[in-house]
Amino acid sequence: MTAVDETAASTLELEIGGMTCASCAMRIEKKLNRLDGVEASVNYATEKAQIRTHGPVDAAALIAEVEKTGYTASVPAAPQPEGDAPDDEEGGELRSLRHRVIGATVLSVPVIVLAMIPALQFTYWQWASLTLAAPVIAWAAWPFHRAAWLNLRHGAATMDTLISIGTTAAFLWSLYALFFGTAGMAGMTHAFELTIAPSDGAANIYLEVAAGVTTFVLAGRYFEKRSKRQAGAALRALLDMGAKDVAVLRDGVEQRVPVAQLAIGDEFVVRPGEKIATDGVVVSGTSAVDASMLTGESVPVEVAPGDAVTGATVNAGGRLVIRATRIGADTQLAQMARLVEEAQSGKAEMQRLADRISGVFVPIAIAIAVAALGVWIGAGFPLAAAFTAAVAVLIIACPCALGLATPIALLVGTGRGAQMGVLIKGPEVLETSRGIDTIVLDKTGTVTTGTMTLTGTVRADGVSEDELLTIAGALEDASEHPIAKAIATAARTRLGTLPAVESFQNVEGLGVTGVVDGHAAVIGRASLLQDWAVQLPADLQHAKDSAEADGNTVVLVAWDGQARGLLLVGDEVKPTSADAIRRLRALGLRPVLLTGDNATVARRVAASVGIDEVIAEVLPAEKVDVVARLQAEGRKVAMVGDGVNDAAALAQADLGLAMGTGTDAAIEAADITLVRADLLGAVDAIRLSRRTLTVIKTNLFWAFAYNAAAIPLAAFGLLNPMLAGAAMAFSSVFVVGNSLRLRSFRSTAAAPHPAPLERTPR
Amino acid sequence: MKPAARLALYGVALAAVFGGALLAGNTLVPDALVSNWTSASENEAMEHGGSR
Repeated sequence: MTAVDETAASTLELEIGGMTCASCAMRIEKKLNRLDGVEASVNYATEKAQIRTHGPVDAAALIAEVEKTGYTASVPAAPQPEGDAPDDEEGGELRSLRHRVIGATVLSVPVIVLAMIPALQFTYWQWASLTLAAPVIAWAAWPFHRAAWLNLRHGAATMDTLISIGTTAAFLWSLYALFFGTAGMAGMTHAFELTIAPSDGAANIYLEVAAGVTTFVLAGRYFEKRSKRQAGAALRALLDMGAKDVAVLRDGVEQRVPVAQLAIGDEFVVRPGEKIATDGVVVSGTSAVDASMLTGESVPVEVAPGDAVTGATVNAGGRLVIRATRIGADTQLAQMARLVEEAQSGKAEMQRLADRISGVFVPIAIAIAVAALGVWIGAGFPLAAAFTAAVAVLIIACPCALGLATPIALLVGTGRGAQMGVLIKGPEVLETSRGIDTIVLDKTGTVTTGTMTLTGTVRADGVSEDELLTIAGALEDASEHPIAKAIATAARTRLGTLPAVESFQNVEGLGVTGVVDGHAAVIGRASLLQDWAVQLPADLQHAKDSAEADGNTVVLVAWDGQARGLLLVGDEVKPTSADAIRRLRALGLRPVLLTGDNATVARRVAASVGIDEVIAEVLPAEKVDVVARLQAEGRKVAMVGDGVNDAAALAQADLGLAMGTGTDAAIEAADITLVRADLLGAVDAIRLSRRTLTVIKTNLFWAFAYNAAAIPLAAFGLLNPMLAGAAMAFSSVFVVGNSLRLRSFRSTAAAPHPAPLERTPR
Repeated sequence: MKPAARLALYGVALAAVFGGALLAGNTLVPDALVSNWTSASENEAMEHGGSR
């Protein structure tokens, strides 16, 4: 094993194995942080430890320290940006769990059927049950026993402890009853009776309880594990965003090479529509660069020689020659990938509700069993009867439905969400949505459409809107610029076909000229009109200044030597945004608008949808800081976004929601994806999360309640296998039925389901 | 608190519970109840012919 670092601070990542709950992560973190010069953060969801070392620390020493706590650790293999590397370890664990679930189901079903239906109880059926149940308790339930042992070493109790104690007690008691009691005799049957009567414990076997509980809980674990989110996917999506190859200029000749071969100082060509390969400086050419996904700035940025450009942004205009200034891990995209990874790794995981309840329930159940033993012995009952009562308490204390309470509700909740266009990434997501009180909304693509649209026109005297749009639309139709496309689309929508253009010329970065219907037209910036000696009248000048102050992009239109009007282009607010914000407020959430765009535009958008708190002109890397700052203020933050610049903030937020129309990076970093791509989806997501959580709590209450109610019967020596089976069946049926109620959850949006509230017309 | 100390404390608490229960069983449960239960249990076992 090699030394991690010999000099200054460095970071190391370890893959951790064997964690079963959030407490495990906390234990390992504590253990590592006790080492000199080590700062560690362990994430249960990603099963990774981020370790910062000051001075020389051996990776072997860190791994040994983790292993001392009873878990495994290893240095991860190098990341594969192509995204096609199979996640072997994760897959292996899931595969092993699947084998256990299948094995346990096949073996448990006959055991339960035999125990519950006396007519099927053939001679020596109990021994057949033992043969079938033994592998279930010893092999299939092994993860619970292992976790329980680990927990015991750390003086803690979780759901695994309860399952392990319950199944082991039931199995050992059955062994005793079969070998030393009367349960192993020929003709022994379990009569179908739920009467409460003193019974000889040595005649009863509880193999179906042990096998049934193991199978149910394993199945729940499997569903949970299968849908556990893949944190690495966000990173891969980010790395995939960049250009794969680049047309580099070598001795004046273009050569297409993989981006990895690009060196600092290399000059490369970017054609219209292509992604810029890496961060650099424009050497020649002018164009508009669409950086909205990276910066949140909705208006394309005009670039000319000497201007800096960022890798992975799209060249929307003319041909550019760029000199590479940063490559590989130094680019802005790579830095963003690091931010996303850090945010995901640092995200605190909530302890599962079932584990928190078990942490209190287990010591109490054991204490009741000990108390029962004491009372029975103290009163003078036979020792066998005293032990029967004590063991019966342990058997019945382990609720079968405990393993189903959370996964079934999550399964139904996530299924209903999918029907409504709310895709929930992992089961833990809904549990972490507890107590969300603030919702941070990205502007571009989330509150607004994210695409440039013609929002208005201002006409000179005597010019009709149709006339203005005909000439402007026809001329802009010949251009590839995003603003030109917005104008042409609006003109075609309104007028249908557009006239042909003659003598079209694209003046890079300034606008376009040409002849439409015999009129020599000029469209673009004020400087282009000045070049053509066109003066802007005072009223149009005033309208231009006012529109620009409101955050609009203004395009000037002139023909036949006279200014004829202005076209206002901007990012339009989605029609459902204001309604959604109102509903989010009604849910007790405080909306905050967060954007990289300028403050004027941000305030205008915020005012139009009813948001008071605006955080504007935020750099991509700062968005995650804003979310972290809000969390440091004690707020539980949900974040809704769509861009690469939102990815880290989405990962950092307690609940990240990505618009389905957004980038893969944002979708992968988020907890929930909103297919409908309108904010009403976020309202549904929050409502569904809260509703599912309520169902989980009710399920857990009843899962424990049925069994807790049977504890006194067990303590008084009145438990029989049918009563234990009935508690198991009733609690399971209740949990499933209660969870199925989530299927009737109604969407906020009018389609496809009627809204519970009236939508306010805009 | 360290795990060992926590477990030791819990063990002491369990011992106390056991001791208290032993005392309570001895003083609160009437002998008649014990003998009735024992005979009822024996009858139950005989009725089921050793099966339950």
